[in-house]
Amino acid sequence: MKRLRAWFLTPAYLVMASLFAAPMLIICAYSLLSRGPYGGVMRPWTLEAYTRVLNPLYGEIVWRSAWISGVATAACLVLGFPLALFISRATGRRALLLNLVMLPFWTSFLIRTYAWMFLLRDTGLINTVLQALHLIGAPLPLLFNDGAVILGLVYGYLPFMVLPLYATLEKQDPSLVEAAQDLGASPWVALWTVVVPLARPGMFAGAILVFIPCLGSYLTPDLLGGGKTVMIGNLVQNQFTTARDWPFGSALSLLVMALVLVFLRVAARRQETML
Amino acid sequence: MNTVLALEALTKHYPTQRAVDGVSLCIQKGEFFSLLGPSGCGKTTTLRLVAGFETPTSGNILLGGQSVVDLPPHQRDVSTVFQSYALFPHLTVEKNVAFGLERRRPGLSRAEIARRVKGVLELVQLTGKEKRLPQQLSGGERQRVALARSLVLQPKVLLLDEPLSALDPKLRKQMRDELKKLQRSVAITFLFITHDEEEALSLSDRMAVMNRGLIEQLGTPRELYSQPATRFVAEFLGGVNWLGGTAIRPERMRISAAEPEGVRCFRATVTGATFLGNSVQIATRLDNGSPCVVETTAAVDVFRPGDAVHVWWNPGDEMPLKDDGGQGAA
Repeated sequence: MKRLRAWFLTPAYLVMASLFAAPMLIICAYSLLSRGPYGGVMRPWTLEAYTRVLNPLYGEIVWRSAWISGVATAACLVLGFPLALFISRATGRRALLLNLVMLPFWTSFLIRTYAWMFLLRDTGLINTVLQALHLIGAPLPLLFNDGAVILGLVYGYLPFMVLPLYATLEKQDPSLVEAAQDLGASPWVALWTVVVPLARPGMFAGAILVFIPCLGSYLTPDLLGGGKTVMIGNLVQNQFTTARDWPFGSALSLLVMALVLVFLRVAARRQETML
Repeated sequence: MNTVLALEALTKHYPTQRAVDGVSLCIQKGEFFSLLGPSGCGKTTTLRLVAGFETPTSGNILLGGQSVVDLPPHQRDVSTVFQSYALFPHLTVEKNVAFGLERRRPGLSRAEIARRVKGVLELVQLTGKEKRLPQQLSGGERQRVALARSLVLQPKVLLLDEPLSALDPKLRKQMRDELKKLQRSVAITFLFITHDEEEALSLSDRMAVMNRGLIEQLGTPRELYSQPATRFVAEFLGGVNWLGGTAIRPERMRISAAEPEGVRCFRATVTGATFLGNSVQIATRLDNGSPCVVETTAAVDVFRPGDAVHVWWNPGDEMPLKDDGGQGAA
């Protein structure tokens, strides 16, 4: 029995060791080495990459990434909550509506992000239509700015907010809302005093699922930010390509991971005290 | 008249079902009124119509003389004790109880709310549990919080939806007695929904038996038990035996091995016996095949399945009831 178990677990162990643990160790090692002249790494061992991470210039990029991710997470929450509530109350149509939420996953994220570029650019659909209707004279600057990046992140990660919210809302005993109304709460007050507080675990789970990938996002700021809105992901990518500074890129990657871990710890602590 | 709640030809029709099909009744101030019936008879729908969670198809609901049909639940001066209690899991006992006061009586000061919450928690014997969360309480304690939460509002009518059904039998009996005492001491009108005839009979000042969306009979528990208007009421309240077109309660039946003299008797075969502590319930089958239950405190003989017996009753113990087929006055 024990043997059999070991056999079944072996493939998973192999995958985790070769595709997760080993690359992690490699990145750790890289971050402690010196940069090679044409990329790559060479000896001697040094902590130089980490001292550069502390440079205020990079601190600003980290702060900016956290800020953009935070705004995107908040926007996902504000948009996702009513949607999740609506789906959880739509008896009989829930499966259909949930499938619609997940429908975008059928197409590659890259293609969908390009689609946004075609909508937002100066000669894109939105600007063309607005100009044709003579509502605006010159094209609106919709693309290649923070707003476009946040829009892209919200668009991309909204389902990750909706699904955990739906899961908690769907489990809520509908008689609790009735009880609140019975005790004198209008539907609006019942929403704020009963439904929202009880959905907090789902809000937390959703916020974590949105914030973390946003923080490490690379594609969205690259395409919709036009390289102007630099987030940590772009900075890391830059180190491995143009800048050819692999040790610094590795150190930055580990910094993102450390930030995420700290965020998760704080979130877990908050959630414990909440329940 | 001191009518506090009046239902006038109240109906609620669903696409596939007539849940409530023309219910009219008046409940007096301070009365303990029960709606009794099997599941699906429309009693819970009636309660939800009064609370405002359902909109009637037709008919009227008068609360203190005013129609409340068009009012949303939060503007009706009634309060519900839910079958599942529906306590707010994120609020302490204290805050659960204060929830209604804070919203229904916006003029009250913090101190006054705290005083009333303390008072009602004392009344339901929950002093010392103010800071607990609902999941830290036993079933009986949750039940009391649910009661306190509604009682503290002093509603015109307190609606109770099978509030005892989630408790274990022993606790249920204890809570039943407490509920009655509580209702007397607070003098609030109770509309009590139950499928348990024992609860309805022991608690109510007056009660109505419902069946298929209609009231079969309305009256005091004693009236309904001793003079059931329909076979349905008789069978639902205590059971009934039919012998040659005559209706007799099981506890009025007599049984013996030897043939009794001077009375009309029926020959039967014992099919089973249940010992209930203070009485014995003996199931028999008459020679014509119909079942007959005898409940007796003084079983002179011990009966075993298969024994041939005689069953009879003393003249005057019959019920004045016609055999209407048991479907009720539908």
